[in-house]
Amino acid sequence: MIELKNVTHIYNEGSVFEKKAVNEISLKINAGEMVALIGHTGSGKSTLIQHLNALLKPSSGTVLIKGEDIHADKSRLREIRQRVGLVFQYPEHQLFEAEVFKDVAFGPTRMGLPPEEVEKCARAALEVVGLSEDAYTKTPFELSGGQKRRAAIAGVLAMRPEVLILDEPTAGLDPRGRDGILSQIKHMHTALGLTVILVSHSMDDAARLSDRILVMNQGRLISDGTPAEIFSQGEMLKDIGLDVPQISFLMTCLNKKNPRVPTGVFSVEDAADAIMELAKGQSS
Amino acid sequence: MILGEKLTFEYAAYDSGGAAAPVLKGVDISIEAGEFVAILGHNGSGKSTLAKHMNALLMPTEGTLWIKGLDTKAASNTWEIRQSVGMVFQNPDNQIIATIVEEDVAFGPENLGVAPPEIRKRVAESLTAVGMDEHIRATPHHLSGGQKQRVAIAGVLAMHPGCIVLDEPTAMLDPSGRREVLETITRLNRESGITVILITHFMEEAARANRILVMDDGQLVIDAPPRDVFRQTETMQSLGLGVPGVTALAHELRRRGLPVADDILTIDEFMHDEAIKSLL
Repeated sequence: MIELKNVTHIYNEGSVFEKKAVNEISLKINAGEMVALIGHTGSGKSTLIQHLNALLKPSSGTVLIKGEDIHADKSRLREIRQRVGLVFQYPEHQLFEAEVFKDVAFGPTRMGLPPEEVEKCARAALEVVGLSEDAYTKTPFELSGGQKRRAAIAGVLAMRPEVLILDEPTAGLDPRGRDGILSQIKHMHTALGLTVILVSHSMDDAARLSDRILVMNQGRLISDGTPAEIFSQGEMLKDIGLDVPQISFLMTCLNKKNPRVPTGVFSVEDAADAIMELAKGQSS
Repeated sequence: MILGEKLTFEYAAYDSGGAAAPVLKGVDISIEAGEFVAILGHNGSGKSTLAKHMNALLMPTEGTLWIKGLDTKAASNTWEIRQSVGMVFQNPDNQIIATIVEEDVAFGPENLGVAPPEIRKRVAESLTAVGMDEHIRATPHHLSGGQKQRVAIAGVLAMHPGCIVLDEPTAMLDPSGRREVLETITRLNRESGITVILITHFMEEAARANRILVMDDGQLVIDAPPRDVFRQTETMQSLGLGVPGVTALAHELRRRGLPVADDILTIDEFMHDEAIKSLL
């Protein structure tokens, strides 16, 4: 689906403020994958994702979507941006219409779709994010934090992208709001077959949602693997300012005392299963 | 330090016009000097509104709030209250105003009319207290999120407050930034005796406080030490909140019949539980 070949991005090239934010990254993301991208603030995550929908142009290297260089033809940038939807951090700050429905309909309208098609796209998107009909005519100010964020995500979904990139979609939400958004993302991934790229500072979210985790540090891609593989490298993650989910850390501690405790487990359910298994083995 | 009786607040009444919907509904609150209190509650439960009362950014529509015995409603008390209770907000970029760390931290005491030699002393002390003394000449926008938040905390400390209120200070930070900020505020509380009021959505952070207040629909519904709060897993979930991961695991193991203690808050406590030790 998306392929990066030796992508480097240098800000303010040639000036004293020159900074290499993305350094020689090569990467392939397949259609239908759910990928989490983690790294500390300033590691280059945001710069990298802005390359995926051509908001930034690499200083060197190429970005391919379905085998096509996205910068080959300038007139097609708009189409690329529609196919790869990007939901920024705190996307609710970008709601601007007086009514939720109009805000969501803005994208498909600008795409030049006929009114009935616009209506269909907007409705479908609002349904997928789980906003009920009575919210359609409300002003965004009447919605809760979690609802506003869903409305903003619907605005991107309404353009029917094939890839959805979300930058910190749960930041600042309460636990219920966080659970709500995460299960909606999972739902969009399975129901619409969307390729999802989730940028997160929450190791728990990354562990819960993704099949694959990319780790960035100082502009480089330093690790790429399953959540179990990535979170078994607790020391390395701590060294680069990250962490492991609390349950994974606990399981690693238990494993040091009893090697029969499995590591690479990060949900409460799976950890409980593993510990009960151990208890059963001991009582028999 | 902080004492509130029957605090009620309506945004409409404050701004005048519009339908009145009370955000705080008769909150009684008392916080002693030197406490570390965490405030939990889902979005819209009234946490931030309550916090803004604590340094007189908002005044109760009904009821009274006293800070160090000073009624927040009396305009003549405002300056003293704002100097006693410092606020730190979620977004570090919205709180830093100067182009050099030193100047940013000096802004507060300058406005209080503190003499320049004393300001210099306070800036140095505050930056040391948050572990940012090496960055005194740095440009804030070159700092990481955690470092910026610590500069914001230093800016508050330089006003010599007795109490700091932090409204989701770690929401925008990465894991290391979150650790830095949390360690800083824990140390300020333990070593300098500063009263800390931490509003957060992270249950693991709240577990470090001495006391947790839970807000729901404008009311204070729970006021207890973390151990007693997180023991009530179901109640917390019904309030749209949660419990720390290890606490949830211990709860789940108990439910499945393993006799783990019902008040585990940390990994260390989990590892030292008798039922767990017998498995290792």
